[in-house]
Amino acid sequence: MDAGERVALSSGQEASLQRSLSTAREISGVCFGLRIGSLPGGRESALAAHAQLPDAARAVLVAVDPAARVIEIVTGTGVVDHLDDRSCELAILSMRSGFLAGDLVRGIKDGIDLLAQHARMPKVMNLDEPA
Amino acid sequence: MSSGETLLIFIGIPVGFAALVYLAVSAASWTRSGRIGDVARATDQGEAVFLCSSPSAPDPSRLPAEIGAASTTLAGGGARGRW
Repeated sequence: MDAGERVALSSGQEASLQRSLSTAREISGVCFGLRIGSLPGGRESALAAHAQLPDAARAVLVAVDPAARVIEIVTGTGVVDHLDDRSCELAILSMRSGFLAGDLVRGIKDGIDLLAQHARMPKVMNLDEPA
Repeated sequence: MSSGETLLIFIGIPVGFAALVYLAVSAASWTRSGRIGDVARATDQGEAVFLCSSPSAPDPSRLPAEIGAASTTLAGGGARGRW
């Protein structure tokens, strides 16, 4: 994609979102993807975008269609044990409050942060602690 | 102290300070970038933004042609919402 196409978000905002995604990956060990744009096929479009993510089975996609005011979250089959649908709905609620305030970036960041916290695998003492 | 000076101190300074705070708070929303309306208009014209925590991000321009193509097998769940 040409950098010139991204007229709606400033480079600082994109960098902020990128940092949020990277932090989410560090926290949870799960690949996070974010798509801001039209979803002509609704859920199917989000599923198709999710399938393009590297290691899609262990990836989470957050897709936002600002024109249709739709949020889609897709979790991979390897993530659902830690990140269930209720957690995704909670993230959507968190994002919605930011969007209703007119702040797209803050809403997305809040949602990604919440997803990362919920996707974090529980610590197993006998496996994660050094001997 | 004259009455003009008194008014300036007890009314002018608080009003000026309030105006300064208002400007500081609302200035961020005056910038063009990031407002939902602007992003909606831009993305409605096919200008999608795609970011990924992995450096090997896919090409988002492929999305419209691949809707429904082998996309459901790796999805385990999720949620949908509107605002």
